[in-house]
Amino acid sequence: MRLTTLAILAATLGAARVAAAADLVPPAPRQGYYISVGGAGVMGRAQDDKRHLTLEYPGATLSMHFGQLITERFGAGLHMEYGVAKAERRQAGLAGMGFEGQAVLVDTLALRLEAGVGYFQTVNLDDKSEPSRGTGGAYYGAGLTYDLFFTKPGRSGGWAVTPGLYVKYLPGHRYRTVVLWAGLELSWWSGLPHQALELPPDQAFAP
Amino acid sequence: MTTLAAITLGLAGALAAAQPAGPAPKAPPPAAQPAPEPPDEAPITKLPVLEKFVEAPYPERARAEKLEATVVLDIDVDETGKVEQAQVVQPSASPGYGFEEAALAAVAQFVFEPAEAGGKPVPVRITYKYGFTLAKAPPPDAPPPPRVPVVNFEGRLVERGTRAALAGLRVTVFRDGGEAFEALSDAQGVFRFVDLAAGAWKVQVEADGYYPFRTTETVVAGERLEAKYHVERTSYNPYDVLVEAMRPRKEVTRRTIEVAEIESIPGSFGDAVSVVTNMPSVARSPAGTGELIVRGSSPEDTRIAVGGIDIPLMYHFGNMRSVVPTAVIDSIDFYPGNFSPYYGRAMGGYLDVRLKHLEPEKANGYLDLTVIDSSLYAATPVGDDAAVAVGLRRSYLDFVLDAVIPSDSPTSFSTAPRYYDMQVLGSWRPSRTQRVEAFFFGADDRMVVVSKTPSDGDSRLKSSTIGIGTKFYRGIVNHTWTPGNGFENEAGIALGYDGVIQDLGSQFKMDFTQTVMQLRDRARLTVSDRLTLVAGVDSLVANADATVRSMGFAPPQEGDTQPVITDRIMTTQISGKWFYYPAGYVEAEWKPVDDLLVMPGLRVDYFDWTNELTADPRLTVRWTLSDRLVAKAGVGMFHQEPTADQVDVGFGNPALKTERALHYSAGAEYRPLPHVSIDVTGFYKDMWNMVGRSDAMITRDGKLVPEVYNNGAKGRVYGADVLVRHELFENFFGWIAYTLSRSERRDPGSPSWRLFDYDQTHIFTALASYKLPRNWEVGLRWRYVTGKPYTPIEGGVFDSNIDAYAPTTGKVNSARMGSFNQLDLRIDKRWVYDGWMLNAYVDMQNTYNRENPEAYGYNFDYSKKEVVAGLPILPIFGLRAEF
Repeated sequence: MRLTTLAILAATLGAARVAAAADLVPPAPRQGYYISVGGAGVMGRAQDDKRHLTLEYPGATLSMHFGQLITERFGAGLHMEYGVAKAERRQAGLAGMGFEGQAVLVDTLALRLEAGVGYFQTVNLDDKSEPSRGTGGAYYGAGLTYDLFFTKPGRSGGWAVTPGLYVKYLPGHRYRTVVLWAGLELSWWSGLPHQALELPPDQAFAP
Repeated sequence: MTTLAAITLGLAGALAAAQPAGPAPKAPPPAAQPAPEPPDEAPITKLPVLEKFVEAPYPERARAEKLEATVVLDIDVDETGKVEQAQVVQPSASPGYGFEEAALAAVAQFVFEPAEAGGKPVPVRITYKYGFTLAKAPPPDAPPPPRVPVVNFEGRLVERGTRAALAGLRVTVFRDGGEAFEALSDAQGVFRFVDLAAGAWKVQVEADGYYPFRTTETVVAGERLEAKYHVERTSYNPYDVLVEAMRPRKEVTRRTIEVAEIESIPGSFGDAVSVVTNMPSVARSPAGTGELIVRGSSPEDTRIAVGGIDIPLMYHFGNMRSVVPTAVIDSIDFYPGNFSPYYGRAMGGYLDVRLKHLEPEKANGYLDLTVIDSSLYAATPVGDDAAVAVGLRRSYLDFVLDAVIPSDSPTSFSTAPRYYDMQVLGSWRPSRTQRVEAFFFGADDRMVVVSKTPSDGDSRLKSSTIGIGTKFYRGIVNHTWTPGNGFENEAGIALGYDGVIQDLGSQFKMDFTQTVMQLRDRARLTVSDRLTLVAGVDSLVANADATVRSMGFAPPQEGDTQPVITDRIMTTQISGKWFYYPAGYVEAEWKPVDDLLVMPGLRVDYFDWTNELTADPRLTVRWTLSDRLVAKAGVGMFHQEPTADQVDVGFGNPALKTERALHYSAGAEYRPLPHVSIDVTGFYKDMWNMVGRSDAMITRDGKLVPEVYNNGAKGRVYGADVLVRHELFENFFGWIAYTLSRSERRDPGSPSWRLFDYDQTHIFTALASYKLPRNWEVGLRWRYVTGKPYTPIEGGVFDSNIDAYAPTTGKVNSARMGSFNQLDLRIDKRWVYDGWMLNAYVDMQNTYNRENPEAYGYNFDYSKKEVVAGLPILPIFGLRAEF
């Protein structure tokens, strides 16, 4: 066993404190894992391949996002969503789930991109015997969100209200659906563990 | 003044001397008085123990003259432990100085814990040496004796998640006021600090590749502080791969995939064998088949082995899972052609799964849960030289289908699809020159589908039941011996069982079982720096039972457009029939000059079904032109037996002979960077004596019978492949593979060439995986493949005999389906806890949901067709807990 015990100078003490500083980041609200739950009003337009049916419908959705900020600016996670809408005596349902990525543009304004699998279906409310029409397939979304934090500043993570604006697209084989999404979510950011943060010594070395 | 009395109550001496008092064995001086006899002469069970020692005064005259001495005495100790009497049995070497008197006076005051015999205290006589030694006076200016440092803070560093000891990490302790110390952890991860002052100390652990660990500890005076710190790595690999040495490349083309690269390749679900389908020279297999189509050859032309031992089945149902889990695999060697004489009985390619040399430093394992199956794996060291691992996997598609399929469904499962497999891997190193490894594994797949409604089409093909079952196991023992002097030997024996059941209702039934034994040995002798000789055997023995019955349904063959229906009822029955496939090979590795490696080889096989002895000469040449550039070429002969149904007297033609191929390939390997390689290989494969359908009638055993098949077909495959590969380096790995090829065939009696079923002109795969911070990993795979050939159906003609339309077809494989392209995406996230890790992943196939054509479906009269698409967008979720 090799045991090295050296008395070192006070200068080394300073070095020991900052040795790993390059790997550490100062506390910020948008750090760690996140989970967002919310709702939105939507305006959608669905059209079948042969243009026999075009629907423009208002509706509402419930959505959930969870993931992690991987670097200071980029994050990744999963999302899922379910919405309903009505138009011209037809009811439509839209569901989607998949990957999402986000990039912080400025402050807490983030660009989010989504890709996954989605499903769209409409039923005729006046004629229940008419088979439902729908399609499933790839599902894409792009939007902007802004986190308004209401927890005290200077800590890592916190609670936020997150307004957002998205465009979502489901290019199914029988229907193509475009949705404009405007909504509000409640977001929680876990923050980073103190081992990963640049903190004053009394906090950094807290047992 | 110091008198150091050397007390010698030597155990041996005491045992010899201590005895029930009486006549001493060593005659005491005449003055000695015998001690009282013990009550019953029982043997001594406990020696007396000195409880009170009295220091004798050092005789002054002896001190002045600097004399030292030893006096040997006999001491009689009574049953209470007191000294009854003592006498000198050996005086000092300096009589007259008073040593003897001083010793007698001192020992008279000794007190002992009494001796015992039979559990009772008894009087005994012992021999005792009393030493008189003068203390050494310290030199006048010598430093004071060093104070022994006291460790009062000891800790152990282990890696968070894996629990591996962390050696060589720097640990710093400091506190306000500028006092600081540091230590390095040893091989066991242990660090120590000595004589730390009492109070609070800040502790910091840091090392490249790890998050800093910081905490505060309090040292209490007179107490030893112990701690265990879990230090987190900034990035974790799913498997720690110890690459002992890069195996030198000797073949024209050998693609080796390390396990570390396999786990996160999109579309493979972490399955090692599936990854091979992303290599150049491998065509895309139809969705769900998992077939290995190598350089245009039929899937049965490529053999699959585990450690050189053939196995009958590589995939479970659905072909998403191979039967050998990634955890027991070290790497996969894939040879698309021109392989060594070590491998044989195949004229396409060879896939050899290399098992891990099991050497875990601690117990480890995982539990893996996906939407299709679950698996368990655990490995542990056994002593210093052995280790064992066990694995088990079970699908649960059967539970899901049973739950979701309604009872009134037109199709139901009397046995829902299910599979399981199990493995036991053991490793033992009896000596530095030997290694013994044993691997037992098996798989079982079963499914029975019952259709309640008839379908359109030929009534002879309508079956209400489809049942499929496969089962096999293998027990393999390998022994590697490297005694030195350039010699090494690898011997292996495998015993196993294969079983296949197929039931297509009234149309077709097959029940096949066989026991198999395979023996392999490879001896390698390095004669000189320029010459190495290799020789070996590869023998296979099987004992088979089979019952097969077909009502006019002929087994499908290459080029069939529709199932072939005949008017014959075909049956076969074999019972306890032995098949022998002995083979041997020799190979030389010859370096006529430093940079040139020439490898001539010869393999000789005996094929029992066709009763043929074949010889396959092979030659490979590698020329190292520079540190970065290698030119390579190869040519070789390959033989392969027809399939069982083709040579069976009931279904085919027992007069068939082996199929043959001549492989030519040439190319170059260039390594512009240490972790980047470019491999370009051109290939030509000439095949003849191939089995094809025949409409002729022949005389066999005096009867006119259909020939069914003959060896009149020929084939040729030519093209080139390119592999640009970035090995796992700086968090990234990936490759681009491209194959340009054409595979053609000329059927028996046909004057013209046509495309093989598996011809694919362009095969392009781009694959990449990147490890992101915070234990995220993202991977993608994009593939483009030319559409596969098909035989167009130009219409249908009603056939009253079968009460259905029969198709009219164009030329075989004269049309192509649309091309295939697909993007697969995979994201992994790992959570690291103190003693274990959790990995979650989403593997999304066909991310942009392209409708890739797999086949055409026709209506009842063949007037309309529609594309039968492959897999739609398909997300697969999985969880893995590792400890």
